[in-house]
Parts: sequence; structure tokens; C-alpha cells
Amino acid sequence: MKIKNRERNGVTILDISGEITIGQGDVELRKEINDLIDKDIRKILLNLTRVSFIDSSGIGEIVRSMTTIQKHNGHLKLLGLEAKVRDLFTITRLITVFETFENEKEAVDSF
Amino acid sequence: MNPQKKSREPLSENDCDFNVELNVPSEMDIIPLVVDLGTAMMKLRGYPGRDRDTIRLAIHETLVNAIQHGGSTKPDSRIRIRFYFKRSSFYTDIEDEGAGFDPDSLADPTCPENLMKPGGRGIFLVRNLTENFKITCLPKRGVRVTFSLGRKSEDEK
Repeated sequence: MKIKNRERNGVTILDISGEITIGQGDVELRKEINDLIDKDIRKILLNLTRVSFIDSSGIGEIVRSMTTIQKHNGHLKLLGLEAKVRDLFTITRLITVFETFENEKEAVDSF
Repeated sequence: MNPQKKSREPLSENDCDFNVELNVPSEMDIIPLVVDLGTAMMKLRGYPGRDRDTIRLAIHETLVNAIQHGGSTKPDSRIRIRFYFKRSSFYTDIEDEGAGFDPDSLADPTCPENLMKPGGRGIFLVRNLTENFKITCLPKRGVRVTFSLGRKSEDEK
């Protein structure tokens, strides 16, 4: 898994590509979120457009990211859930707790 | 006859009895190899990519569970896997050497009190994404998790 960090209109966008699975991506994502919190960044958009595979540990890490950011009075939103990933968020009902977007500008403007 | 063309056509349901059995170490590094084999068998039988993705996740999650909970207390523990076709479905059996568990005792990760917990979704996903999900306790041997997936119609590919 690779994470690229960029900023748009005060929102930090994490472009994630590859797989978010147990031992491969979940730890990296946790470290990235903690680093952003340490830098007082509170508006984070996870771009999952190029995520090819995610398992329950990867889903759990996104949940953990959300709760970590909320504890610091921040916001985390999701961009570009591909059909397979969206299905998993629907089955687990996490789709009801995350704000998800298909368009980056709309996502950024929503913060 | 064009042998190259024939080799690319999916095997029919009436072809040879097609099953594969594996006996592998209970190690995380082995997961991609097992997943690739199962999904390759499905591809050979003409299952669409969406079905292969579902089974990929199901095999992955079940193996993670077997490795983390099934063999964690025993050195040199093994996992046995069987892939096979039955009627129009692809079946997977995964046996570990653990004490087993009651799937009904697992917390529902979709309940409000569990929704924001980071763990507890692996077996839930397998159960909800596959068919004929079953957990069988094997006395003095461990536990077997079975699941299948039927081939979707052409329209659903």
C-alpha cells in the first residue's frame, strides 16, 4: 500500500493505492493518521479510489482513524469507494457513519 | 481443432472431478498462495471476476482467523484447505487445529455499540458474502469452516 499526502483548500487528502490488509497497510495508515494529528491537522479526506483490496483489518483501521480524529475534534471523510469496497461498507453498515463522496471537489467543499 | 482456443475455454461442470487439497503451515505468509490458487480454479471454470473477488476475501479472512486463533497456541500447527466444485458452486473447506468457536457467540459488528469498534468483522463478512457457511468442530482435531459460492448468471457478471 502507498499513501500520498496532499492539501486542497485546507483539507489534507490521503491518496491511498494498493491493498489495505492485515500487516500490509493497516499499520501504515495508523501511523499516517497519528502523524497528521500530531501536526494539528483535523480535516482529512481518505481517497480510496485506487484501493484494489481491503480486508476486515483494513476496514477496522479506517474505523480507528475516524474515532482517533473525532477524539481530537476533527473530521474524516471518504472519497471514491469502488463497488467492492462500497459493498463491504454497506454490509457492515459503516456506510451509515461515514460521509462518502464520488467527487473530490464536493468532498473538500463539505468540510 | 485449435488447441490454443480450447485451452482458454472454461471447463464444463461435467469435466473431471476437480478438487485440490493443501496442507500448509499456519503462517500469514502462506495466505496469498492459497488465495491465488482458489481464485485461479474459479477462473478456470469461468467464474466472473466479482465472484472471484468475493471468494478471495472469504479465503483471506478465514485463513487469518485460523492462523490467529486456530494455531496460535501450538508450535508447528497446520492448516488444511480443500477447494472443490459441487454442482454449480465452488466450495472451500479450511481446517485449523484450534479449539473452535461458536459463530452465534460472536458479537454483531453492525450493532450500534459495536459499529465503531476496529475489530470483529472478519467472520461476519465471510458469513454474509458466501453461501452454505458452516463451522464444524472436529473432535481432537480442530475446527472446519466451509463456505461456497454459486456461479452467477451471465446477466450478473
